[in-house]
Amino acid sequence: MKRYVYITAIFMCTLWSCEPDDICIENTPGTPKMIVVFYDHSQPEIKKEVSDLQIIGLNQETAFYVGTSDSVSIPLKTKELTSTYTFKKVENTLTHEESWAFEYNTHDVFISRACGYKKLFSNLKSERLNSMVWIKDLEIINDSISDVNTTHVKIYH
Amino acid sequence: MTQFQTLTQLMLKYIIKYSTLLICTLIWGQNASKIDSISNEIRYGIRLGMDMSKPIRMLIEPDYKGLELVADYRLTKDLYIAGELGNETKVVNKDAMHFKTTGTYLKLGLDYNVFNNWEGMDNLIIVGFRYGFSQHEQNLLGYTIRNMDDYWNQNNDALLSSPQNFSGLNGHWIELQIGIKAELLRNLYMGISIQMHRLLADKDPENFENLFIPGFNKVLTDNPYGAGLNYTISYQLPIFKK
Repeated sequence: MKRYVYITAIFMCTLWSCEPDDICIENTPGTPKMIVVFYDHSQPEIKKEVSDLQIIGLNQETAFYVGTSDSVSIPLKTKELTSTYTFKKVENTLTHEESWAFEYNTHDVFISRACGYKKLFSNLKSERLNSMVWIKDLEIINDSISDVNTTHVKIYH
Repeated sequence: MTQFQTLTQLMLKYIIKYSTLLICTLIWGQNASKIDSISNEIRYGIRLGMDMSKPIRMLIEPDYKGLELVADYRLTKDLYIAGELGNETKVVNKDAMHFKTTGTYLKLGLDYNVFNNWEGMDNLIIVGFRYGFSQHEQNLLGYTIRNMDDYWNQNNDALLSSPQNFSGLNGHWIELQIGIKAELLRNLYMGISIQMHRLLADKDPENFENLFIPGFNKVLTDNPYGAGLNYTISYQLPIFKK
């Protein structure tokens, strides 16, 4: 009987010290990014790559994105309700620049003990900060950003 | 993590130390009883006591406060109706969360003694079952925002200007207890028990979770099980003998 009590005691302590959920698993979704997809303005159904695209946040030294692509996911500021980005396009050694401000509301959603909360965005609005250069139109097709599988913004150029 | 492991190790040390002590007492007590040869009357009464592991835990864990009163009443030779009433406060500032839980709990159930005493002795090896419930509140003091991108160099710690209070929470669970009680002096008992509990239901705070339930201890995310321990000193108020 004594032995059983010992074994049970040790077994239960082992159970107790086992805490797998103290680790936030790498691929747990956190704060989502704003997904921007570029479309051809003459054929609004068709995606169109932007060549030599650079995306730079306002007052940031480095570009967030450099390359050629038809879609980009862009991080929004989590502590402020506006994020401003400059979209630069290089064409025939000429740089075309446009700045857009994105405004939104935020709220925090609980994930778990180890991962904490994630920031979700809603009521997304955009504002062009200069006259039209190369972006013909910007359309917000999903004004709440809560996952990573939806297109939120369409840019026609 | 390390703090908790240290605690577990400490508890394990206590269990081994005290159960050795208890078993020695049991054996020693039985040897003595042969000489005394007291009558084989069974004492019936209410046993009242306190969990001493909580004050010990308060000494080694600065963010913890707890008190637990225990009681049982003998129904038959081996069967007792038993319960625990307690209050716990726990502050956790670990991983991504900083919160404080405060509340009261009550556990009620039966204890069955599987130990065959020598005549006149009253020691127990207990297998017990409890239904437990808590009434508690949780205060969210701070948390971390999970943000894998730091392009904007945003601080991911969310500071709350005032704690967010979630009251009216509760938890319900069932519990299996295994323990020993030894009569050290006449009517004075020392006991140790280990509890394994399974959460049945709980009322979670909105946009948050019960991460600690008084009486139940730490709540794991995808696992309804938990464990606890108590080390009691109790006194039996004898009512009658049979």
